[in-house]
Amino acid sequence: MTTSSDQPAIEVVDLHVDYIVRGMKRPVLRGVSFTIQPGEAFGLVGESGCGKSTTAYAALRYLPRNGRISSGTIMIDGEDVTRMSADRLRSFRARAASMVYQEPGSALNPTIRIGKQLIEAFVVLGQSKSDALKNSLAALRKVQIADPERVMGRYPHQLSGGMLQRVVIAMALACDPKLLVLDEPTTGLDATVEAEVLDLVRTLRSQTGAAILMIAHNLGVIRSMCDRVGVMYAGKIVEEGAADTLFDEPRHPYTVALLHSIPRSGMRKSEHALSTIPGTLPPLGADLPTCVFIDRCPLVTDVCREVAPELIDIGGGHLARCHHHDQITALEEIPGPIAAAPSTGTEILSIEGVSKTFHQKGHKIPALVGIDLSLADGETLGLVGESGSGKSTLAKAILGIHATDEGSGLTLDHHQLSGSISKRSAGDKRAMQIIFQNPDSALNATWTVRRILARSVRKLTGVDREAGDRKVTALADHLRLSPRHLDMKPSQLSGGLKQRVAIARAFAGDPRIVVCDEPTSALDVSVQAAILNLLAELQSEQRTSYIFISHDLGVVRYLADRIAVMYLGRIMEVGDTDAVFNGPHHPYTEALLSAVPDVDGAEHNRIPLQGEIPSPADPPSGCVFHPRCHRFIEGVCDVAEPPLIDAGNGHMIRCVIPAEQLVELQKVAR
Amino acid sequence: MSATVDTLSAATQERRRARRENWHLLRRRPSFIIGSLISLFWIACAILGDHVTPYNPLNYTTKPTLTPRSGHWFGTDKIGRDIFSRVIAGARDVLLVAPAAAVLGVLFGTILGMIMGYRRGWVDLLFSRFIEALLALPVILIGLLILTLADTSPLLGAITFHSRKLLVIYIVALLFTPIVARTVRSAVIGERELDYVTSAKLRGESGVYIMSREILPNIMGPIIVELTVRIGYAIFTVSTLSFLGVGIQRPSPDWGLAISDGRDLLRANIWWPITFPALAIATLVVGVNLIADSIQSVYDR
Repeated sequence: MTTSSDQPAIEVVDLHVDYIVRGMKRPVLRGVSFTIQPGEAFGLVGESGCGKSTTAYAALRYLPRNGRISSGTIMIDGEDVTRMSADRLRSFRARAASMVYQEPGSALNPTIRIGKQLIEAFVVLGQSKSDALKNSLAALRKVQIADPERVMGRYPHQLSGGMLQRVVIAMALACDPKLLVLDEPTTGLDATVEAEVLDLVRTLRSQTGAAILMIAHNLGVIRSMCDRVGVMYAGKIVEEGAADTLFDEPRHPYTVALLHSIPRSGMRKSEHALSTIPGTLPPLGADLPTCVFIDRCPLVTDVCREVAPELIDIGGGHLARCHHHDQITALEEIPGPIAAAPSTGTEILSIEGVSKTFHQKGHKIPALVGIDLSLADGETLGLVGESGSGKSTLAKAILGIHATDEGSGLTLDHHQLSGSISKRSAGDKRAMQIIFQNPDSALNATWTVRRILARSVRKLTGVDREAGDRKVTALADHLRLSPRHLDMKPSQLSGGLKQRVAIARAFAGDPRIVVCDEPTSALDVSVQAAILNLLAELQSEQRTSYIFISHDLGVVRYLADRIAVMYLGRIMEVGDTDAVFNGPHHPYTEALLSAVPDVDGAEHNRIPLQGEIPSPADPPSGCVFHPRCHRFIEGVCDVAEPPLIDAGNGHMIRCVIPAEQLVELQKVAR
Repeated sequence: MSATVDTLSAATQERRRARRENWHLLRRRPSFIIGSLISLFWIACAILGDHVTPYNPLNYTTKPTLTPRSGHWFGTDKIGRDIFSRVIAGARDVLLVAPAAAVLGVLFGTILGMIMGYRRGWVDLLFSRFIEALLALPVILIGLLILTLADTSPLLGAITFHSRKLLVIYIVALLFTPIVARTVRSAVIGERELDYVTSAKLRGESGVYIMSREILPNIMGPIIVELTVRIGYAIFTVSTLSFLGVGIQRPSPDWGLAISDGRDLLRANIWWPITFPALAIATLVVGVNLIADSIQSVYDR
């Protein structure tokens, strides 16, 4: 693919960037160097705050107003971007490089039709209106939009996230850029949509020969997309190499720690706890004269504290910034298992025929249709499915936030639960709590941690002030929140600590059931590992049951005992975690599993899902999944909705194809 | 595994610094300094009033309609009172009535806005339409109407005529209530969707508790901005009502009243009885608005 070896697409040399915060210069990039050849894809990974996005923005000089490139060069197409005049920079950005951001919605103007915005991208290049229109249609076809004329007439809010990201990519490619910067292009998209967008980027890359700089926190995505990868920490690249080599044989302690903190290769909580990285990233602008990782490194010795390590080639273009890169194998220790929750198998929550219909402008929107599930004590039930499948609606229906339809049956400990929280007894309220995805929204920003916890303890348990205070202290201690955290407000805490507070609050009344609604998806992997360990420990101590919602199948597999797969407000498959992951699968589950980019680099045949999730207001006939199903049988699937059929040991699949046949079909597909 | 120990001392310092920073930022703004100086000057006049004026602002001192001169820097009005003394003392009534009206208006508006934004449904629908209808009419017109009614109707008059100033305070407050309610409502609608509100419902908190303890502290920013902006408007409204003869009554040295009294003299080229009170109103309104603008821009930062 590399056509001109003489000149790289971008060459960044010793780039230093400072942010001016309250008049103080705080270094963010501390000498970043990398080169991307034409047609090559280079990925930058690292936890939030490591400087990967700053690097991407600096490459096109899109730094925020208080950001300054203090030294270094960025050569693109033989020109130094850091020295360009404002005019030159504008034409450079219009013609030589493009950027795709995380939020496709915010990259487009919501009040202007797609077509007009796209045409403008071509008109800027000096094309006539008619040429621009022609090229716009061609561009949409290029990003595999089936009906470009129709999409051109739409407003951004009328398109799904995946479609919008395609449009944004089409705009970015308008100028036929030499460099395409992708900043978390698929974060926030469903795994199935993510897989499609990534496929598209791969195809376009081979067609256009553009060099790609890709930022992502998902290591699986980076591995599947990039030729070479740089691992960043505290504003420096600490390791760089070919993607496969780097992920299979990491040679920097930070890379090793990152990889160990991800639940992967079918890892389960019953096998071992997740590794965490002790400590936190040094604060923005900290003085780091020697190795940037010393505070958290298990291999640290005196030399690390005295001499800053250089990026050393350890063979085959694999670079590591570590004095002890040859001792990495010493880090192979794996923590022991977390004691299993002593589940007695007693059913504590039973969900029978739960439905929820929303009414909107006279239309009935059935968001949940006849859900049957049960939950035993000390058990974790994972809920998976694309967004819009009804996972969160189900969780809210169980909690009574959404009042369920007439005829829905919720039974807690053998007594009927009211469908609405306001009608539930104090005991029932105490029995079920929730941990939300975003702790910033879940915690009242004007309250101190102590007040947040104390209010929940006293309201839920009804104890007096003194006993309440004792409980708060015990709770904080249990969740490893130090006493000084108690008098702080949420904004003073890091993301991981905030989520601990949210967990502490959920456990304030010793609940029987805790709903975890994507509790770690806003967190970095190392923090996620600590939170998942904590949840598993709490469960094994208190025999709490979890309803665990996540789009990350690796996380669900690690934590859940049983899994329910939802689609369009219905359960498509439910069974023990191993049964659901090992198969036979419902065709929908099969497609979901195939969409996950694996950090271990395992290749699997991806099963593309056709079209988008239909509107629940107008569900397809027969099996609701049939229009997107790759195993669709005409005249059968579109006629009658199949029931959940037992495939053995309580593993239920809602598919007309018998389990034995599914096994055979899916064996072939691999 | 080890507990995540964050750089907390740094975070705490950061936050304290940010709070100090806000105050520093405010103090460094020229518009805030000028606005404060002007406002403080008039507040001092309001407090000290006739204790510092060269003449008794209510009494005849010398010949009427004297031009500004030494001894009577701003001249005298048509019944020979010293205008300088009256301008100084005239700060008192307006600075009593206007801020009180603004505070009450923001209070009522906050309560109404919170109920509308939190309860939604028919309560919101009903009040929203009512507020829209009310906002279509000029504030002054409604104020004038109610105050005139109060003067003529024996019932309304009997209930509220204890103090004219109190009546004006209540009416201006009521006029501001819908405007404030609208701002507060939209702030509440933004907050009520957040998960901490759901969490409060899940532990069984009442609506009143959620509104007053959970949501209110989170919307104090817009409420404070609203209050400072309303004070400026209130000064204007109160002065206008006095000018129209339905607000503060004679013989108060109130500025609006003074302008009303000196209006006829303007035709005879006697400009000083209305120019100085008018300047007083203008400077006070500008001063208060300068403060309001700086607070708003610091909050919006």
